[in-house]
Amino acid sequence: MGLSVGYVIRRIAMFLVVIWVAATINFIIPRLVPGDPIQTMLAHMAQTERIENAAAITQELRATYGLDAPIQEQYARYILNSFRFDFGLSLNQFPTKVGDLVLRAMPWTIGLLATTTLLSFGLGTLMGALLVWRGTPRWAQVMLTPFTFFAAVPYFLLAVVFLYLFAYVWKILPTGGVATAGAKAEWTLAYVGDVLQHFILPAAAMALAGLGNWMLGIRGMMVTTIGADYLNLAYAKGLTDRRIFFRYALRNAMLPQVTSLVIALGHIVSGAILIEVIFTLPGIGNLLYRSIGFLDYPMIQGITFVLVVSVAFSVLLLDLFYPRLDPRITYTRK
Amino acid sequence: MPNKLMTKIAVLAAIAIIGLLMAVSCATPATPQVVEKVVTQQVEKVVTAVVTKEVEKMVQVTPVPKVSEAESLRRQTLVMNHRGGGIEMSDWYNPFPTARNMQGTYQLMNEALFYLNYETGKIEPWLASEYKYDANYAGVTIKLNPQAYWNDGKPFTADDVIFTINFLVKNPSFRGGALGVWLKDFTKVDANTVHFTFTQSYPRFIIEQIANTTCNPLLIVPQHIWEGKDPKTFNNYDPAKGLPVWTGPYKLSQSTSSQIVYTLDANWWAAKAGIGTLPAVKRVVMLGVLTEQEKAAKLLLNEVDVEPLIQAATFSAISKNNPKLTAWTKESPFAWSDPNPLYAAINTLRAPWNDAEMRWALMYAVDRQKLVNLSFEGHGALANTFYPDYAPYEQLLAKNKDLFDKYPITTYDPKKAIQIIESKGYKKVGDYYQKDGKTLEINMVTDQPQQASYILAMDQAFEQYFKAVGIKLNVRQVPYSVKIQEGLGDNWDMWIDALQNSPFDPVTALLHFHERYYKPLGEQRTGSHDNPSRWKNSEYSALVDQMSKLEPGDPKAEPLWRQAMEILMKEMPYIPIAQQKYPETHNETYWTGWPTKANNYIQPQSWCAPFNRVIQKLKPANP
Repeated sequence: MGLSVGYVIRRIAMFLVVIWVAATINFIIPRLVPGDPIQTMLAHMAQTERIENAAAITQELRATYGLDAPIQEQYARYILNSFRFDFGLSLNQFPTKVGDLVLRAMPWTIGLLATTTLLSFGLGTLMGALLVWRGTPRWAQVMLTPFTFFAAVPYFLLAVVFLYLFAYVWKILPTGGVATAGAKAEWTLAYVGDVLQHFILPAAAMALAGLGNWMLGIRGMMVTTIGADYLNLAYAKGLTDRRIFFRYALRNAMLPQVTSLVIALGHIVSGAILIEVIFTLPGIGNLLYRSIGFLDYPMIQGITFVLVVSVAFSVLLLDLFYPRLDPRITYTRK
Repeated sequence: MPNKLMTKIAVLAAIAIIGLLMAVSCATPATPQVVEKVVTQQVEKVVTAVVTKEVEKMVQVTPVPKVSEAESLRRQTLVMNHRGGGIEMSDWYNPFPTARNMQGTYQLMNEALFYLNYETGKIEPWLASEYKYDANYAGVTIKLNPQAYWNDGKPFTADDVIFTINFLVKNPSFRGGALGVWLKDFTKVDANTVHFTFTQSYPRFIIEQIANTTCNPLLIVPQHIWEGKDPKTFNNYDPAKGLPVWTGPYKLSQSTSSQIVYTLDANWWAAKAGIGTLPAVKRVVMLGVLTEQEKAAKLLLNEVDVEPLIQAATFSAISKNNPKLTAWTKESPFAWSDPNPLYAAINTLRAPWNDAEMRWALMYAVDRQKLVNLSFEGHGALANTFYPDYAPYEQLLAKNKDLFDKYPITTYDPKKAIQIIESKGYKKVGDYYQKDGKTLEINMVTDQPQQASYILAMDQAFEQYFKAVGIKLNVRQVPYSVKIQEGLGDNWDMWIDALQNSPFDPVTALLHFHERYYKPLGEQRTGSHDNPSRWKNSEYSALVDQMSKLEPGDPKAEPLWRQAMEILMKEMPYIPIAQQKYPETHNETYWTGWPTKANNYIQPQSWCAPFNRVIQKLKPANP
């Protein structure tokens, strides 16, 4: 396997340390920022009605949020709760639990971003590799090249253009949301189809925008791989072009791509903020966008923590699987 | 061989990409009206061919319009957008322990004891049938409508009111919890009558605490559902068990984070009792569209029937492309005036703005008519006081025109501004005035331009006007919640917000400047609208106290009002800016009967409780 028990234990310990540090920073930062979450809540209440009893309300809310306890007690409780994914109550959507809101938003974000990330990774990697492969016909190379331009186009710009063309001008796709207005949310083919249709535009914008980056990434690596001696040897042995392309060239060029993919997958829980806002998708990005606008610290902390955990976990998995991907990598002591 | 293989792979990759693009472009139509359009086009082709042949044979054929099932359902549905963004807390229907906006619930499921009609200026009874104040406004007796019942069939009684008031008094942090401050006692007189005893004379109890001048009237809960529940944690959401139970014309049928669906309750008490009309709208869908672009697109494509918040310039553009889109007025600014005009509070405790003359210099420095025109892209309306441009105020201000001649609030006179500044010992160094080596500065806090499109132009205009008279403006654009929080503090000289007002009672705005809400520097204020200027004037406050003891509309208040206004205008702790105009957009493709200036049966506030009255008036455009 190329892994030692000691390395795995060290790596898992490092993962836990990263989580602890992240949770600690998450705890400290909001307390350094000017302003007080309870005052923010009061300010919002003050917008809809006259507050005649602010002292009593402040006291009650401080107790509800545990802000009346000594700081060390708050910290201990916070760390313990973070490891249980309990981030307390949202300020904006009080008294709903942050964890519940994150869990509710997560499937939409993961569904969209996991699909588009994997799709753009698969297509982009293949197309980028073909772009420089000596066996690719000239016309195909010419046709594929323009897709690299998408690396320079932000996904939200593509989203707005798609929205204008497909939803407004041609009227063939919905403008936003996850389903047609009034559609009953249930596990039926019609509803699932309706949801998928609503995801075509955001997914296409995300996938196309990501495509260029994956193409450019693999293209660079393929250029360095193509001149390698082992490829010449493979040709000399009379192996088929397909086998050489996939098993020798692409596989050896893939490692940085896979690293990027795993990190990108780790990031999907943070959501694609602008795409979710543009298309009114009720995912994590949308939730984060509104939480920032409201200074909903528990919600921002909760989402940030989930993001840190997912990226750290992805990197952990990557480190553990590297030897499987590339036999040259080993963590065993010789 | 290798070339062929690579060609195959390249072709496959190209097919995959083309497939992706085809999936995008060849997807089935999303909306019923698009389906109808495609079908209509096909039908038109066939029908045209047949009719042409038949006409040739001198036979008349009338094509029968076909309506799809989806279109038929759409014609019974009202689609509205949530004001202020996304749908939140889709499984939480307890309005009390949250600062959450309860849109949808207020208009469609809950009902108020009384509604405040801004257009008629009347308090209209609904779940209650009448009220009568005690002598000297020491208390009030409210009679409930004996025909009212909850949507589970149980009667609506005084027990429900007492139960609700009880837990509000016990929970001051609840929405409506401030009520407790005013109540010495509250008792059930009989099954349909309750009596409240106030802690002090309070002639505005009904309008401020029950009907409420903002759009959140006091909500009563059913005792038989809420009893024994912890009102802090009870989410009041379980559609399988029929929750939430309210008295309104609609029941909740689906609530998700992307949309909320309400279904008409054919057994609605108000229709049975004959005081209301059973709405023609069978189903209401509430969406949570955030961006101006998507709002515009949905209106253009007839996917939304009412959009509460859109810019006048956007409305002007899209209504040219979709003539079915209407607003309060046909001409600019299209919008109904919100009762809360935009104003700039001046912090009267920070030098040099603690000097009333310097505050007047700020007034003279800005051509506010131009500033409003610039900020609202030609669709704005200047405010010359903190009052909205409603008839009762217009009449009051017209009667006291001499006061405005004496204190020319809207006069733009930069020379006078400079004269005042120089009279205070300031000398110009470069672009700005200085005194004792300190530049004359003003620190302003506003929303971020993302919050409202006028912000950027308005801030820039202020900057230019102030610079022209040698005042350096430092702007801090912050998110809305931060702005509110900043406003409660004192680290600013000028803070821009909308002043909460009454549609007809001039005392409400005056109360905001009462010394009871005064806080010295270093102390946090508590009410966002209450005295952000930290201004204190005992004579003024005494006059406002006298007015507060009179019922709204009492003619004895007018001379007191004039005296109080004169003190305020002389001191000028604020700068009026603009009337707040919301071009709530109505789409007449599916529904007609919307309130307009010509048909002003109630104010167009689809995000507020009185929308309950609008929905009863809507008629299908395609019956």
